[in-house]
Amino acid sequence: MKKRFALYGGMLAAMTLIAFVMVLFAKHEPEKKTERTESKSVVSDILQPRPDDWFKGNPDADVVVIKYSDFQCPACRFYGAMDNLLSRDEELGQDVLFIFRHFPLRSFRHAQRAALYTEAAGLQGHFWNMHDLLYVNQQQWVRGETEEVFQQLAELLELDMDQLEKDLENPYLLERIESDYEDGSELGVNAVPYYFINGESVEIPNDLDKYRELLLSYL
Amino acid sequence: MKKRVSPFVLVIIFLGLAFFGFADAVYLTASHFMDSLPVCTVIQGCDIVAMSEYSTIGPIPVSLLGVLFYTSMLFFGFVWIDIRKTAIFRLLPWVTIPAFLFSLLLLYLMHFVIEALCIYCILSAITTTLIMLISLYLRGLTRTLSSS
Repeated sequence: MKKRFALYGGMLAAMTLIAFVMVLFAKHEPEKKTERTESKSVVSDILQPRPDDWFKGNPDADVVVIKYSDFQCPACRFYGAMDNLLSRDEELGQDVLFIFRHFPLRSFRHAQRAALYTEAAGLQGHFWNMHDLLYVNQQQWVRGETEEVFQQLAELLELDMDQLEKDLENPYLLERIESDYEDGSELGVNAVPYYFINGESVEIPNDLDKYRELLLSYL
Repeated sequence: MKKRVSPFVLVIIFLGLAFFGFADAVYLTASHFMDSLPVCTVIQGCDIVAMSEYSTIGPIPVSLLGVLFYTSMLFFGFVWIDIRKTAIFRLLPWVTIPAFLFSLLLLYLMHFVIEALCIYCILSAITTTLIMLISLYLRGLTRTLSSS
């Protein structure tokens, strides 16, 4: 009887211990991302705003948020929406500049093509519209018929489709994307979205209010 | 005479795998309920899988089914150590084969539909496969034992 008690007791104890450790592991992850103190300083020319950057907000703002992002990653969609909201925030309004740079992950099949569409749409003045539409419709184009969905989004924006076709073939646009990717790699970007605020890599909280507070702390 | 692996050793390996799978599934379930939003990393292809609509069946996360499966495997293993009845070996494949097939379906969804890689899901699929293979071997043992 004692043996039996030890056997099942041991099983339950081991399971409880494992469960406890695993819950701690899972809990630990998001915490890492919200600590501003954990950020590391990266001094680099790459982190200076460039005239050809895609940006939202005031170009002369004191706080510069540079994001390396990907269109196929669901977390990027979420953070993209937060950035959109915060760029329209009254209090942050004129004090924060949000810059978007490409970092299409190699593990995503359509990420680079999506980035190319935003660049091509950008030539017709619709970078941010294409950016928003790609995220909103991410579930559609990730699941196949990708090109058709991209085309439909372009038509929705009333882009000049002939020009778009030409631009999609333009090697310069691909170079732009790749150059962002290489810059990101040089900066140590190993995940998306990856943020730099005023030249420091920062883990952004996945909560709008906390993210907002973080930005306010820079003002 | 061909040397047979002792069932005890196999059950111990079986339990080791079940503990490993249990840890993996608990981790995924805990991440699900704590609503953490994992970023996508260069190496892992991120938790697009954990965030897809296939990660839950109604309100139940698939990983919770994994927890239940591995718990039942642990229970079977320990009960066998306790009572040493071969009936348990005969019962095992009825659970492990459907679990393996379900695991295959999840791998298919992950690779062809969601088109992303989830390392924890792959680990769990490997664990389930090994558990299924051991359970089949153990069942085979009961046949040879009863026929000899």
